[in-house]
Amino acid sequence: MESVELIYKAVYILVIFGITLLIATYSTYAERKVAAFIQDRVGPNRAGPFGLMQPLADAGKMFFKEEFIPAKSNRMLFIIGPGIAMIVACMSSAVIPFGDMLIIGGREIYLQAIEVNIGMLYIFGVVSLGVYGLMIGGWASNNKFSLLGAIRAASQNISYELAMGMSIIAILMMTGSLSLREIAEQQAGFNWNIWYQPLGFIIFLTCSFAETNRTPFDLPECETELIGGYHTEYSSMKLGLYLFAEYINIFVASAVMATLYFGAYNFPFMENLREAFSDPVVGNNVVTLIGVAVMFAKIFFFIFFFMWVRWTLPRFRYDQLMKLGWQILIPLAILNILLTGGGILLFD
Amino acid sequence: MTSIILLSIFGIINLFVGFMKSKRILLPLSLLFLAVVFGANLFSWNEAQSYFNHMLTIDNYAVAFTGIMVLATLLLLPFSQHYIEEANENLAEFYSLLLFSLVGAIMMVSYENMLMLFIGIEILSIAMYVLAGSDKRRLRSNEAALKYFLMGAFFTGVLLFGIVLIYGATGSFYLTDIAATAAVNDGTVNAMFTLGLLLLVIGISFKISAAPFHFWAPDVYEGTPTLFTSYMSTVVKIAGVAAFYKLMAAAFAASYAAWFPTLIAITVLTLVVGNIGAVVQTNFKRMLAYSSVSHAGYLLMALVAFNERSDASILFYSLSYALATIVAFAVLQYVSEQRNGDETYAAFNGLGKTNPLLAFAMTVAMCSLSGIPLTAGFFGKLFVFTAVVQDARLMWLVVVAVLMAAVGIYYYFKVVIAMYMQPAADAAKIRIGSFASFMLIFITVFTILLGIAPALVSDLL
Amino acid sequence: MAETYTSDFGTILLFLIGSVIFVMLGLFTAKLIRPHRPNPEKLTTYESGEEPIGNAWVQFNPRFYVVALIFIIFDVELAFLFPWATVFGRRELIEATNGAWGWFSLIEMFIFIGILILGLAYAWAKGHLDWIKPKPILPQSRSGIPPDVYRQFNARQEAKREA
Repeated sequence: MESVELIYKAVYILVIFGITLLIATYSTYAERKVAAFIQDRVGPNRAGPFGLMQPLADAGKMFFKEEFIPAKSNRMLFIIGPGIAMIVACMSSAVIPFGDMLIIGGREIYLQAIEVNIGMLYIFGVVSLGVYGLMIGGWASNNKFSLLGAIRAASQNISYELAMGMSIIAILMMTGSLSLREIAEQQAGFNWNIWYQPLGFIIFLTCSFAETNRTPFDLPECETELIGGYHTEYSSMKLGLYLFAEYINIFVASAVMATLYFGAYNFPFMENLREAFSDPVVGNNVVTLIGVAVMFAKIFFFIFFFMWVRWTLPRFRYDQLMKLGWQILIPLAILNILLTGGGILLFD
Repeated sequence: MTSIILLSIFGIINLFVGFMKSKRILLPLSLLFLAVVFGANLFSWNEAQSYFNHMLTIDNYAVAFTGIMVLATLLLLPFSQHYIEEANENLAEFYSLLLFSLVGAIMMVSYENMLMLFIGIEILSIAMYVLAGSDKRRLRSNEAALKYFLMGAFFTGVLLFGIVLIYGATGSFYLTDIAATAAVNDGTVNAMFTLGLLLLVIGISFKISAAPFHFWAPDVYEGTPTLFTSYMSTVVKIAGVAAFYKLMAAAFAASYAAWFPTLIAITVLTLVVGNIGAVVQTNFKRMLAYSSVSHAGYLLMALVAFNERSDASILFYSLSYALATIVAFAVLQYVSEQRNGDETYAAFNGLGKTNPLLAFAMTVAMCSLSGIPLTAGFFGKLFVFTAVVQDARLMWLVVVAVLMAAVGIYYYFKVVIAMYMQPAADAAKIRIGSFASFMLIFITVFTILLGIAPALVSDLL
Repeated sequence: MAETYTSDFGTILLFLIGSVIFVMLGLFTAKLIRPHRPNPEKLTTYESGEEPIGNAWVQFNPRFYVVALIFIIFDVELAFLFPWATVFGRRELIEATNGAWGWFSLIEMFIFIGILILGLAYAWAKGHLDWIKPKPILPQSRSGIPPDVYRQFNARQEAKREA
């Protein structure tokens, strides 16, 4: 029994890894296609039909490129930096509920790798560890551009982490639970949190852009000022890890947004659909499978949104970025907590 | 407890008042705040109460020491006049930090739980690290802040190790629980307990600058702006000694045999190092630093005696010492500022002719520090010595202390001689505000009053 | 749910091990198959093609430290807010106290946040949150032709294109 459990867990982990990596890989393709579409270009179209093999070709290139480790850098930290970034990014997808439970042969299978009662706190904690990867890598390069990129990244991430945490607090006040599955279950049907937390969602959305270092918050790696930012000195697979970690982070951020604010795998009239089947097991499984599709649709929409914003908005200046974080988002987030508290007590 | 809350609120108010254009209101406001806290504190007299699951207890001991510390701050603040005159941009922060650090000091005299002791020490110390470096453009002030911070952080670590080991040995942070565990086990629970106790003693000895952990004191005292040196050598030291006594009395009374040898060694060493060190100084401020080390020694004597007269004698000694030290530093501040930053004895030459008031206040303060009769310092030493003499085996300690007090007279009177016997090199009168003069007169009168009628304070506890 | 062999956090450990293996595998495979021909030129620090001057491990703007300090204060606040947020809306607590619990805990937390807001306001007013604004230098050229002429010319061109 024990070894069977372990195998189940291993399969879960492999599946989640596979999904995460696949989505992250094809995010790079999507990014280029979206960019091309927005800029009225064609985009990658040589490798395979519609250029679908392009991400694989890119990955292959990462493997075969020669790598330089600058002589003046700190070798060990130079290697550890991208490693941390990638490990942390992979770990953060562990607790996301991709779907409700499936019933196969009387066995209840939850479509979530790990259910921990502090899921939200886990994601929040693990994601904020990601900045160590950037900071260590940037510092270890012993390059002025990298150092500037790294401290910018650190400073930006911690600034926006506060507002992000506070917008999560407002959600928690409503749900009373840190477990992502419970949060998802509470939003059954069309009872999504977004209807109660519009301000919180906007804050969270803004902060997740900043946390993933995406435009308009991509100052740690802005080309015009800092060459490549914290990964200026990186090449080959280590650069690949950094870039890949960024796309995984986008995926996780999208999944968290979908779970927290957009009802995760819930969709309108799901109860009616469930009851339409005479066999409850079949009904449950059909609804769950549709729920998984709905969840991924929501995630893909947010990933698309990330790209849409990237090719639409210009980059902030650093003073604007700090001003937005400290002087606008944090007061707004505190206001949101107060409004939520008052609202819960008055109307509930 | 009211005083802790009030001080925190007043500190924050002070910070925000500091945004106003005119800084003139800050000093009267801070004085008013301190007066309110002093008054509010008195209401707790004879009404002991515990807070936060008995982590803090405001009893008469706490009230008395809180009163002295608030009073000391109240008395030394008027001498910050020059900060106002030079329109220092951080004035509000200085006052607020003093108020905040008083919160820590109060927690140090009213704790019932080791964590509260630690938090109190940290609140007090961190404010002091900042204030030590408050003269940002002077290298010595920066040096003082860095030295104080590094040393302080290191010894905070030692103290914390002590607390942890005691916790490991007894399973509690509460003084009463520790005392109960120790009492059952003849005062020495196990080696961990003894080691923890030793580390605690070392940690607190550092905070009150007792030898051999005094090495930071002269440099830090010299570099720190004089106003804050004055605060450091009065309030911080009083809080440290009071916390030390409370710790020993409430938690380690049964372990007397375990800490007594260590403490008596520290005491004797402190007395000797402080007094001998002060003799060789030519810089008045450094001399005061060593003198504050030696006074830590006298205060520790009362702790070593460890009988029913200890707390009252610590209280009286603290008050008399604080009054005299505030005057000494205040006069030094005025003199050195208006005589080209000179802090040596020579700066005081001829002060008796140019400024009789300053010279007289200084003379009384020096008499009090050296323990001449008719001043508060005499009774301070008398009470400590009588407390020690109760134990006939400690007679030799009193002999050492009296010898050292005699050495003290030598270096304290160097400045008196300079003021009255040496011709003034610079005959200019030292300018001093009327409020500051009034304060000097008040403290001097208070010192003499305590020297005539010590019962005003000595019978409080 | 059935008793599981590994606790939930054990699975997280498995996840960690999996990620570490994945990263190591990636790096190791790449190391095996990629060319490795370093020379001193390749291994210099990149500084836009110039000879790098000095070391990059130098002092940088202390503002970053100030931001980090303020962050720590608020992060600790967040750590206190998380447990509070989960018990704040508890129905059974609110019902047991006739609704008093909700208001009590809300006001208590307002006071706590209020003190921190005061801290933020202080840092704000002191200017610790203001980053240095770049002062762009607009290129100025002295030209004998008044700007009006350009505007007229442009307007004429515009009109021509419209027509």
